Amino acid sequence: MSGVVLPREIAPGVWWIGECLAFPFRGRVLHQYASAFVVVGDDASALVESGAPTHTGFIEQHVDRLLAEGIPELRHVFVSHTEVPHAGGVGRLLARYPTARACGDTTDLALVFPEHAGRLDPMRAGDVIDLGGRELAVVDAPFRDLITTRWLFDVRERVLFASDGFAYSHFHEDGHCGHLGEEVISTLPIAEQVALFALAAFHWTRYVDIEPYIDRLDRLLGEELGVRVVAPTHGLPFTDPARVMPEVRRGLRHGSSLPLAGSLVEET
Amino acid sequence: MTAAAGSAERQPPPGEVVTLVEDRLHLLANPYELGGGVSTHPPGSSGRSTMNCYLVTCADRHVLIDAGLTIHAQAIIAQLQALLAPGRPLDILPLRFGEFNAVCNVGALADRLGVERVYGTLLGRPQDWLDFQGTPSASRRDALARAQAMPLPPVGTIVLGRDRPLRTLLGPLRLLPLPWAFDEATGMLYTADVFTWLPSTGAAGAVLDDVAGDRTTEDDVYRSLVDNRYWWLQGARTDGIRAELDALYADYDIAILAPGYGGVVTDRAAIARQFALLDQALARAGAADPPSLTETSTGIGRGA
Repeated sequence: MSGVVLPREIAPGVWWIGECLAFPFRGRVLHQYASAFVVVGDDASALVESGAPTHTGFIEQHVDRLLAEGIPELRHVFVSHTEVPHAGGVGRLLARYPTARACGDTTDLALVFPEHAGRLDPMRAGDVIDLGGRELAVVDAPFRDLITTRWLFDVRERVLFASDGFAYSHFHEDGHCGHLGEEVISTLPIAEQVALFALAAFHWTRYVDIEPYIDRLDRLLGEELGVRVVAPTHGLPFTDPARVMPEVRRGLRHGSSLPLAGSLVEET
Repeated sequence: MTAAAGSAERQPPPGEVVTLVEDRLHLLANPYELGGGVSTHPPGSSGRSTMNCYLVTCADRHVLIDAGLTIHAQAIIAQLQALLAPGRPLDILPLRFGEFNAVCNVGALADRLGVERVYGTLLGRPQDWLDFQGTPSASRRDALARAQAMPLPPVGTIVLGRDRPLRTLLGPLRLLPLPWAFDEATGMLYTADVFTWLPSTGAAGAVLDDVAGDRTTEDDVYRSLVDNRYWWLQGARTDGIRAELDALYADYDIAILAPGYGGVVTDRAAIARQFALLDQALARAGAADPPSLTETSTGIGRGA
């Protein structure tokens, strides 16, 4: 199986862009997406997530390519939360796309990008981005690190942009790059990767009862939003929640039950 | 779009440089406003706090722990120009490398002052992950590319300079997978986003040097934790965290309690008091009800 090159349209008018980060891990190289997504309306386009600084150049290339193909101008850069891997591209993207404003969780950004302080629109759950014939609604993030984290929901195509939620790494040499979760579920141990990611990045999950969080995710995807596509920043998107979510649940339970000592973050 | 208006650009007030240990360790404390949305303090906080950088002076080089916020770039450059000894290169060790307040100015400092080493390789080469400010700058990128990328082990010992080991350790209480650090030469314990609740811009300045001046309450600590980055502590299993903090306090001879932002503590009785308050706050959190997970207000419904 060979990897798929991005951009990839994962729902009508929703483009998956970005590139993988590579991490050394127990003798192998784990790939982890620092994904961004472009959502196209009738009047405007939105970029969801701005990526790690390492990959801002890739995001710019992909956005430029889509603009060259005729999508409406980029007016919104949605920030889920203001950590470097999620918001590191905001300054360069606002400089490159003068019609765009940063929105979502803009905490700290006036201190980080003071030249763009007048182009920040903090948003809360319930706020809406109108792209023309298509609305993106801000929702609270039930699985997060920073308390100010926001998720975004494409009402028309039922796509949930879930930031740090549903995070799991994959293996480049196994051809997982660019694939949807359900396309590689037979060769990628998603539950194991969800657990590893939580162990490395979501230390808090080992101190809490994880079941209410799983219940909350299930309710949000099911009865509340009727999600058809899940688009995480650090995991492979999936368009078959019924098939992938059991693995996610299993991974979250496993990750929260692992020993408390140690770290999976390694440097060479 | 239905959203609040963006905030105006802010001009920071003057900062403060404090000699923590003569010829060995300086604090660069630069103030910022808490109103208007900052991640360092709970929503609704007001007044000011300080973003901290620590300049470690070795016999043969300087190492700046954390590089501060962009709004402080010019202040930090001026502070370093006054502190750096001729002939000793400058290195930068951004311990909170996933957070802006530790990395914003690495590029600017490399460009203006020259930086020989940058620690941390997890997110890429220095010129890739640290050159994110506004319009790309060839000189800034080149300056970062000249810096040697140094590994930052989350647990281990970094030899910062001649006879200056810095131990990195997993903080017993942490949100992100970022290390704490202990400087054996000065007894400084760097605690990232914990112990960040002390005031630092009042009449006493950025350093608490007498326990008699410590007005912190257990509730201050509790609210600082559960109303912000440590929202998940309510109802969590905190006994293990408390035991690890107790062990750390017993194992390390802590003379300086050095958070990433907020007041620094240099009085041993005050340090002991701060650890005790944190322990009480963690016990309270563990006995509390878990945070509500039903607050998502979408109003969107399932649609067609």
